[in-house]
Amino acid sequence: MDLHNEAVKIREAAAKAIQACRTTEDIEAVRVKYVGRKGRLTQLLRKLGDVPAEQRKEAGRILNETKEELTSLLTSRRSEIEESVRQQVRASETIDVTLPGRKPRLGKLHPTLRVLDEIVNVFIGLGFAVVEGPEIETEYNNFDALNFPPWHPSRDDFDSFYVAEGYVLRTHTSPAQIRVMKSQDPPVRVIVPGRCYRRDTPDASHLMSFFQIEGLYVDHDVSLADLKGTLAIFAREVFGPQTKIRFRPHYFPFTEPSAELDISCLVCAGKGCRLCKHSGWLEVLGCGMVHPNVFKHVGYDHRAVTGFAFGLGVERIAMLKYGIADIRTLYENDVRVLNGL
Amino acid sequence: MRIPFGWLQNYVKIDVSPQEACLHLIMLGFSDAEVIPNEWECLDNFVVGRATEVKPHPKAPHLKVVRVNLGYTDMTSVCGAPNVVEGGTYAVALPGARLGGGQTVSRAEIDGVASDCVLCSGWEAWLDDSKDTLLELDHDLVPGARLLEALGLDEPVIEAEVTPNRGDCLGLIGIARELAAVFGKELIIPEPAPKYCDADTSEVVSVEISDVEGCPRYGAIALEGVRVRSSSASMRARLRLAGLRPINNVVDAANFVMFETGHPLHAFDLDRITDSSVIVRRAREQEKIEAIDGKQYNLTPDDLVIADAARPIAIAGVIGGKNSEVSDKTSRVLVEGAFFEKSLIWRTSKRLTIPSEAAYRFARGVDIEAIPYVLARAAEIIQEDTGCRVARSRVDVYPQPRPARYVIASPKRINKLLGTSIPEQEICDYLERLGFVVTPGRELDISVPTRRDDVEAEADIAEEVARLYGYDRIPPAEDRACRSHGKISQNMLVSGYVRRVLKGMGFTEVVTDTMVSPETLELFNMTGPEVVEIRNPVGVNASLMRTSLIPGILDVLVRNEYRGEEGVAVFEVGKVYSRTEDNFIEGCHLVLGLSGLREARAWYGRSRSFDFFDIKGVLEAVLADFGISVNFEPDGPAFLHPGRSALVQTDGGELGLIGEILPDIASHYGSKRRLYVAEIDFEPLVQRGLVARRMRQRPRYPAVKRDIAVVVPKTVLDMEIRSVILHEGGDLIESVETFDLYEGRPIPKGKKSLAYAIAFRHPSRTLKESEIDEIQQKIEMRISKELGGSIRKQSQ
Repeated sequence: MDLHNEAVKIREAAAKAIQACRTTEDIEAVRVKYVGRKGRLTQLLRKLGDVPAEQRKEAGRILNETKEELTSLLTSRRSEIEESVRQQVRASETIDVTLPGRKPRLGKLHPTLRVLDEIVNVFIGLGFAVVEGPEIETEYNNFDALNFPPWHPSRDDFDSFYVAEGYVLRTHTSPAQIRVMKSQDPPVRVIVPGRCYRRDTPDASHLMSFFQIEGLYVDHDVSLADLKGTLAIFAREVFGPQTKIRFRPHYFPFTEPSAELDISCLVCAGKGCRLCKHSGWLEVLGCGMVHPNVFKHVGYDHRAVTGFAFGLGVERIAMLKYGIADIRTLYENDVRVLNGL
Repeated sequence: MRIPFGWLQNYVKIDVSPQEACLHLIMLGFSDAEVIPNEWECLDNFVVGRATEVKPHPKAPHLKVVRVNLGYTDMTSVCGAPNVVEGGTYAVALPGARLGGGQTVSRAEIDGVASDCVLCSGWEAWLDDSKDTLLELDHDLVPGARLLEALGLDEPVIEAEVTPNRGDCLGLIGIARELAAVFGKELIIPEPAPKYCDADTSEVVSVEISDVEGCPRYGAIALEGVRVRSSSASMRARLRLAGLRPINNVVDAANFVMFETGHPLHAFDLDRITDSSVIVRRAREQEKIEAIDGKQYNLTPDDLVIADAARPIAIAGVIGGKNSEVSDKTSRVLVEGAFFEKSLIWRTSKRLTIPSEAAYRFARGVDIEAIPYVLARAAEIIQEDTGCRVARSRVDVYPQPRPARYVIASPKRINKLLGTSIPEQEICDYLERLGFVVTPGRELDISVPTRRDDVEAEADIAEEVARLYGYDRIPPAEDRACRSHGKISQNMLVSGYVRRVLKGMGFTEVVTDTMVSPETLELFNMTGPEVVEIRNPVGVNASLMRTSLIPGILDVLVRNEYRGEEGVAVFEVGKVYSRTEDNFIEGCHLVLGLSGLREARAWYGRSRSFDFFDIKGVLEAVLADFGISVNFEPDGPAFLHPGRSALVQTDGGELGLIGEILPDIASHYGSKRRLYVAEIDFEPLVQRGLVARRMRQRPRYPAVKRDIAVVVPKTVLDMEIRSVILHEGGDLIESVETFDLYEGRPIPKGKKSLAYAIAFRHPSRTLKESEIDEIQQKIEMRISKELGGSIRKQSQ
């Protein structure tokens, strides 16, 4: 028997069978048939002992080469089949990636408090510490200590809510100034956010309850120029780097000199439009240098320290930022509106 | 304050446009100064016309056909007024003009005669109330001139806000003084020079002040031979531009001087003052007065009145009385110029709701030293118009003249306060321009004009300097803005964190009213002596301070349901208020509210409504985040569903409550849904804060996991079974999860099946199966013995 010829025949037959394989099971069957323990090539190898010694080496080489070749053909065909199976599985797993995703519920924070947080953060960055005061205040802290004359209109029952003799729902956050200064020595640099109350009839720009942020800085040699600088930074941070500011004289009982701060109009940048009533400016807050009488009330030496204070209405700024025309919209708590801001 | 720009120029000559003047006024502290639209533009199509020919109407005997000369042309008008005469000068409404009554003029044919235009009554020309006679214009007006210009009503008018401390600027001279100071111009103050007769006012009237605090000075001047009639056209125009209604020449003169100087005056008919005696006193209890506005006012001893021997004849500083009003029969007039205490006037005018121009000015303060001047000025104007006799000597009761006020100020300190370096000379110059008298020295000794009672101290002086120097010229100093370290408050830090967590969980933040109605509190059984009451609420609906956030969040849930929102998830962190006998307490609460759909219909699943366990899960997650462990005890207030509510308990006590709103209350609010709420005291979270918890060693030995399924009576609580498991398992229990709840076949009626996945773990060794078996048996035994349960065998 010619081992060599036999090997060639087996190789050809096996190669053909391997090509014909369609599944890994087919491959396994072919492997068993040819190179398995009882496979045809294995049996041929066992007959190698019958080959004369001088030809045995050559025959062995041929048979081994054939086995290697068949094994490698089997392996590569198996990978081919496996790859195609994988491809089929993947194809069958195709999904419509254009279907909408599962929506997690996502809420929103209230616009007034978002603006409040934002402003507070700006002032924290400028070295102000946040403190909070009570909404039910003494008339003394809310008015007297802030240098409101006894006859001042806002003390009246028509303008302020009273809950007991001498107790008022604070009409501004400024009484917190008194609390802070009475509890610590200068320097003082605080910001006080919170709810305030005035006896207004609600309309597009008034509410009985609203949020304010008070700022106070007391130290040696604090000047109006420092106030202007601080508020210039505030305006740029909150309204954008191009924002210009304008200081106008005004009157508040607890500051002297007093001023109002305007910013360049957010809509027209100063050219004049409906929002700014064609003035180019929007009023955002009241401020000034702490009145010496206020220092006297809290026991500070008004010759040794000076200070500035400012108070801003949060809703007004929220309205400007979110383009809300009627302040009452903020507190309708309509989630369609709130979630859209 | 209205500032007719042409009138203003009488007191200061400034060469700028009214718009430019507005900018200067704004920078002087007069907010919102702007040129207002001309209110008299309704007179656009009106001209001056002269009747050149008046003929009877051929058909209608009560009408006349008038030929009207309009300068550039002639027109015909058919007119029924009795006072139309040849040569008369009238206001003519041309086609297109809108008349005072509202109709628009067009050419018409009246009984066969064409009428091109309308000769106007005062009412038709918008100027007064007379309807039956033609308005007669001055003869020197040129026919064809626009009526607006001819009457002087085309002048631009500035409107500016005057802050309450600047009573001195409620007159044009005050405004002019400010502008003169800014522009470095001369202030022109008229010098009144009436021709006096020898009469002495004190001989015709006696004046007594019985409340010197309320009225520190009272002056008056008597005028005789006054002919009361309409003021001149130019006077009327001036007052109209100022927003005042012309009345008659006496009242108009008083108003003119008020508008010029800011000092209100009042004119009495001297013959109607009983016994010629004037007494300034407090009103008596239950005293009444009919004022010139035709209304009756009830007075109290808080009100200051001007009285004669018999009765009040004016509410001091607020409004005059009908009984002493100047009328066309008046010939002797007493003009009053006084100073009343601000607060008195303010309170009275507010209480009686009489917002008069006089009260507005007295409440802001007038110049006590200006009284002789304003009386002379008014006398002069009335005399010019009527030729009346003016008494040489006035009455002037001024028991305690006010001392002049001096303020010491240092230029150095002023500059320090302003952050400027304005030279001393410039500071003095600014102050002198405003009428302060400055004596330089080591420090400035400044005499304050009496009209400026708002200037009391150095800081006030600094403001005057800053205003004239220009707030816009003060350099912004940003370098000092960052000298100390900022810090957020604990409350804002913690609430900010929780608010953002809840936002991420799908909750929308709301802000609800803190003032609520008694009805609401009653509905929720929240009334009691601890509720803070507002003594002077605007309405009963906002008369109490809330003690809970639940009513507010409920309102939000229902309103959004009305608006068609399918699923609503909202929260609020806000204050609640209460009181003890002598103290007020403010707390902070967190409230959650859910209603409607949790999941809308979607391709991946069915829609599902929110239920109790949605809100409970959120609350548990938030509390677990803070390491706060709580128990939910089945119980709750009456406004919650008795079978679906729980008290949230911590070791330290009750933290809050959770549950479904009682369906009766939900439907009372108009809701068709199940509404879920949870409210907790937020303070413990704030106090605990966002603490860093120490890292725990990762487990080194494996956990043993067991499932236990039990069938128990329906009344047995999950909490009871858990507590048995935890008690028996002790420290070896790592976690217990309830993973199944089942009722129905094959579970017998009245029972339910619950299943628990328990993980046991020992920190320092591997647990033996046998020890877990032993624990499991104990658990099972107690469940069957104590809770009436039976164990369903379950594979691991």
